[in-house]
Amino acid sequence: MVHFLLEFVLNSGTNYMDGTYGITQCSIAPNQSFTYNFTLQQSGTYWYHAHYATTYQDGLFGPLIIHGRNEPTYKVSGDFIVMLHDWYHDFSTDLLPAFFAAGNAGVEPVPDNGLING
Amino acid sequence: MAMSSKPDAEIRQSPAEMDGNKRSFVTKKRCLLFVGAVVIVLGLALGLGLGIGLRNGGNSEDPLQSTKTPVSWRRDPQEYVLSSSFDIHAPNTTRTYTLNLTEIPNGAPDGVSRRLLLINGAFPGPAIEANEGDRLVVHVNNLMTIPSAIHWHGQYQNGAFSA
Repeated sequence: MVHFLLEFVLNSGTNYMDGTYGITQCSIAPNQSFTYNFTLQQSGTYWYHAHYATTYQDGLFGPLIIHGRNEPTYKVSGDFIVMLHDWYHDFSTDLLPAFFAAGNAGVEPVPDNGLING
Repeated sequence: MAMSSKPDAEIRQSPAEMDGNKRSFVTKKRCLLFVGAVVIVLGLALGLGLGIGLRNGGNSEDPLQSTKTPVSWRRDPQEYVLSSSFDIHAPNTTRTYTLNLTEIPNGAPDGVSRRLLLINGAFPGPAIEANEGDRLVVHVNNLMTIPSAIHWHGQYQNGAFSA
């Protein structure tokens, strides 16, 4: 999987949780704007999320639905998006010092809750 | 005998009469207690009812059946129901979205208040729906106090370098 942000290329295989804090420079500064412009080359049920530090944990994410060209039309009564996600009661960056502390061995903070579509 | 006649007269009541007086006194007391209890219960019920009712914004609808947003920052669940009118066979087009990133100090998705980041005023972000081959143009306005960037998870970006 290749993750590219338009003004910055993330290395091939870079996981969105891995090593971006304090390294990723592709940020939109406060009170600044940026326009993403690209062609969707895949289809499926995806999501988009903030890629600055861990702020996607604090609410910046949403569903990205791309219909395939050969997608059959099913006879269904409804088509619903269901997002399951971890939830913390603390702002995510407040949890990072403990996560990155020496001797923590990469043990992620235990979520306080699990939510469905927020 | 004469001296004791008065008290005698006072005391001289039939046992039934005495019992009746006593009973009416007890009944009165019970009645007062009952009325008092009713007033207290009604008062509590009214207070609690008003308190809870006002707290819920006067919305007495079943939250499971309601499609209204009870809190302004909570995204309307209806937005995550894909519209059957979306044409999945439409010719490729450019779809334009605007994402305004903001923050509030007291969002509480699960009831616990915390600093919450919003997209277009609500949490989670709006659904983006498109067809394979469409061009996505997304204007992101960072109105927060922290930097940001939006990542299109899993999307190939071949040829997008020129931007």
